[in-house]
Amino acid sequence: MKSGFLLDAHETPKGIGLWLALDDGSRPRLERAFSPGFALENEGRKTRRAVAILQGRFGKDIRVVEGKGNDLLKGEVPLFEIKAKDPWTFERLKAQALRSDLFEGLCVYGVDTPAVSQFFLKTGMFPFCRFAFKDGELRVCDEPLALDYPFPSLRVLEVSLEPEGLDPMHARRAFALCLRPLGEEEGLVLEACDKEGIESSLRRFDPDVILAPFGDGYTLKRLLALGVRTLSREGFHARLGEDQTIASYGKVYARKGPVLLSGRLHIDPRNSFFYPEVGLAGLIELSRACAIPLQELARTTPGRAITRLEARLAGQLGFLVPFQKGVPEGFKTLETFLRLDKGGLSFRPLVGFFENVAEYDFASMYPSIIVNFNLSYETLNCGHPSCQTRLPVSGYGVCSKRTGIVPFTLKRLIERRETLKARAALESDPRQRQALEQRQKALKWLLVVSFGYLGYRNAKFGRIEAHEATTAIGRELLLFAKEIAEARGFKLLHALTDALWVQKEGAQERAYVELEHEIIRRVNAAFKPVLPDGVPWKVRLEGVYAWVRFLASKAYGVGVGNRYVGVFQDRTIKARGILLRRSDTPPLIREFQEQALQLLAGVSSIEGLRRQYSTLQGLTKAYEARLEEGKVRPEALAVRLRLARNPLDYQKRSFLAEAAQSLLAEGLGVSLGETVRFVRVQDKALRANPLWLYHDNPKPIDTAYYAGLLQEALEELLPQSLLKEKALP
Amino acid sequence: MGRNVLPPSLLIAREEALLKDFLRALRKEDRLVLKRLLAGVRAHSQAIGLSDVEPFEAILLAMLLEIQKEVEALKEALEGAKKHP
Ligand SMILES: [Zn+2]
Repeated sequence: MKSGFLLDAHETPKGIGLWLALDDGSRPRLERAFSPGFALENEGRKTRRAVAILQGRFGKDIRVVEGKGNDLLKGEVPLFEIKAKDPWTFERLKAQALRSDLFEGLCVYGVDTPAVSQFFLKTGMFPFCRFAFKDGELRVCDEPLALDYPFPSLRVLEVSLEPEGLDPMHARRAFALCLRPLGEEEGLVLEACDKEGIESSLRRFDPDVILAPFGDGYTLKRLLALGVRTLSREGFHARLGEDQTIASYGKVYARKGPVLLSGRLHIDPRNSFFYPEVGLAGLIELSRACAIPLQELARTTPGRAITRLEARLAGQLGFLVPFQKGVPEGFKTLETFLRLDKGGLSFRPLVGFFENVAEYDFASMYPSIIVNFNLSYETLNCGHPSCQTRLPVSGYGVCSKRTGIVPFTLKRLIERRETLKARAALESDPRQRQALEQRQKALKWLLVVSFGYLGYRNAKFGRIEAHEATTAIGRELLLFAKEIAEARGFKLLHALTDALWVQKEGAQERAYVELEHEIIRRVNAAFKPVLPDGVPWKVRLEGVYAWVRFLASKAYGVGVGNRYVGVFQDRTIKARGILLRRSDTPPLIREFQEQALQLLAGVSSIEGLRRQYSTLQGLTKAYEARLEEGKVRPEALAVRLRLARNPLDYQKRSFLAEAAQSLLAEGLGVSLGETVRFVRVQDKALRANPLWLYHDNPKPIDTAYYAGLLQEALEELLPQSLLKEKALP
Repeated sequence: MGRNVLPPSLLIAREEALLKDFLRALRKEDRLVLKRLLAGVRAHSQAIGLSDVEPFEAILLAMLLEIQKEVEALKEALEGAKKHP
C-alpha cells in the first residue's frame, strides 16, 4: 500500500484529473469520471418549464432527478437536480443558462460551484489531503481543517529573469532565465531561447512547484510559445486564462491571465495577492481549508477564498449553496437606516504631541461580533416563533436556535488562528515558526475581509443588515470601553473603529494594565453571546507610547483618525498614514523618513524630541546634497502610481497621465489597473518621465520637488512649530 | 401650532433625554461643558414652555442667550480693566 497527498485536481472533458504526490517520490495521474450539476427549487409550473427547455437543448447530456434539499432560509424544499454528464457539458449548460433569462425568478443552487469543488465535496478529497493508495483506490485519511498536517514535501524550482527586478513587460531588452531549486545558492542560467536546455533542466529538476515572477504575464507564455514541452508533467497541457481587471476597495488592479500547468503548480509571485503575503505555507493552509486548488488560490482574492470556504462548510453541513438570494432588503425603515449606517466609530484625535499614552485594541473585533451575535444572512429576523432575541442598538431579531453559516465559519477561523499564533510563539525552530506565522497570517486575511463581504449585496452570504448590525455593535463596544476609561480618570485622545488611545498624567504601566483587565472583564460581562458557543472578547493593551503625534489632515487641518506616529516605551515604532507608509512615496524619501524615525526611537519625551531637531536637519541636508550631486539611483526617485483608468481617458494633465501616455507613445503597452513608475524631471514637455524611458534618455532631476518631499517628511515627524511651543508648565 | 402642553421642566428633561447618545459619544471634558450649557437653560424654562417654536429650538436660543450674556459681561469687565488698570 502506498501513501501520499493530493497535489492538484483539475477538470477534464470526462471528469476530474488528479495529480498524486506519493511518498515514494512518484507523481502519477489518475482520472475519475464525474457528473457535476446544480439544482432548482421546484416551484411548480415555471420551474418545470425551465427544466423542459434544458432537456430540449441538452437531451441525453443531462439527467434530471426530483429530490429534496435543505435551503438555509426556507428549510426543506423540493428540488429538480440537473446533472451534466461531464464537466465540459456542465460548463456549456452553465454558460447557456446564465446568458439567457432561463433562471429569471427561479431559485437556483450551486450553479457557480466549480466542478472540482463539487467533486471535493462528494469525495471528501481536498488539495494536499493525505491518503492511502491501493489498487488504484484512494482512501482519504485527512480533514481540511485538521490542525496538524505534515508540511507536504514539494520540489520547488524558482524560474526568474536575469537581470532581476525589471518588469519585462516594460523593458526593451532580452532576458536570460535563471533556474534555481529553492533553498540552494547556485542557479543555472540559460539563454531564454535555449529550448533543449530548458526542457532537459526541467526534466532533471522535475519540480512540483514552479515559482516564476512575471510567469503569467511573460516567462511561461514565452516558454510555451517557444514549444517547451516539460513545463507541465503532461506534454503541452496548460490552461490559459484571460487578462482581467479587478476592482477592490475602490482600487482597480490588473491581473495577468494565468498559465496553469498540469502536474506542476505554477505560482507567479508578481501576479498573486497571497503568495507575497503568506508564502507557500500560507497558500497550502488556505488551499486545504477552502478546498481551492493551489494554482487557482494563488491568483484569487481573500474575499473569494472566504466565500468558497463558507460555501464548502454550508455544503458539508448539508445545505444547498444559494446562487441568487431571494432576501429583500425592504424591511429596513428609513429611521433605522439613519440610526445605523454610520460605519465604524471615529473620533477626531486631539492634534499634537502627547506623552505616556496607552493604546488598546479589540482583537478581531468585527469577526468576534459576527460570531457572538450570530450575524449571518440567514439568521437575521429568522421568523422562528421561539427566537425572541433582539440585537443591541439595531433591535433586529436574531436566530437563537441555529448558528449561521458566516459565524460558523468565522468561529473556526478565529480559534484556529489563535492556536497557530500561540504555537508560533512557543516554537523554537525558526523554519517551523515561520510556517506557523504564515498560516496564521493567511487566516487573518480571511478574517479581515469577512466583514466587508457580509455587507456586500452580491456576496453569497452577505446581507446589508448584518453588516450594519456589526458596525452598530462595534461602536457600542468602543463607547463602552471609552466610558470605563473615562470613569477611571483617563483622558480620551483618540478612538478609531476598534482601537482606543488614552492618557492619564503620572500613570504607570500597572495602571494601564489594570485598565486593560477591567475593560476585558466588563465587556465580557455586558456583551454576552447569543448562542452558547461564542468566542471571548479580547482587548489588548497594544502598548504605552513614550510619545505619539496625531497629525492633522493635509486638506482640512483637523485631526484625522489614521495619521499618527509614535514610539512605544520599548522603542518600537508605530506609524500610520505618513509618507513612509504610502506606496506612492519614492523609496529615497521613505528611506530618509525611516532613518529619521530611527533616530527618534530612542527619545522618550517631547523635550527630547526638540533636542533632536538639529540632528534631523543635518540628515535632511545630507540627503539634499546627495540629490544635488546626482548620486541617487533613478529607481530610488520613482513615484509609483496605479492607473485608475485607461491612459487615454485622462482629461486633465497629471503626472501619472503624462507618464502613462508617453509609455503608449513609445509603443509600450500599459492599461487600467497597472502601476506606472516615473521620475520627476526638469523638462517642460514631459515632467514625469517613466522609469523605463528614463534609463534610455535621462534628464536632469527635478531636485526642488524631491527637496520639498524631504521637508514634508521631516515636518511629519518633527514640525518646526514644536520648537516654538514652550514646554508645558 | 399649539402651545406645548407638558410642564416646562418635563419638556426640557425630555429633550435632554433625546441627547443621550450624543452626550455619550462626546469626550468627557466636552460632555461636562455641554452639561453646564444645558444647566443654564433651566433659568428660561417658562419662556421655553410658552414658545411657539419647537422646544429644542427654544432650548438652543436659551443657550445662545446665556452665552451672549457672558460675552457682554466679559467685555464690560475688560473695558473696566482698561480704564482702571
Ligand atoms: Zn431562529
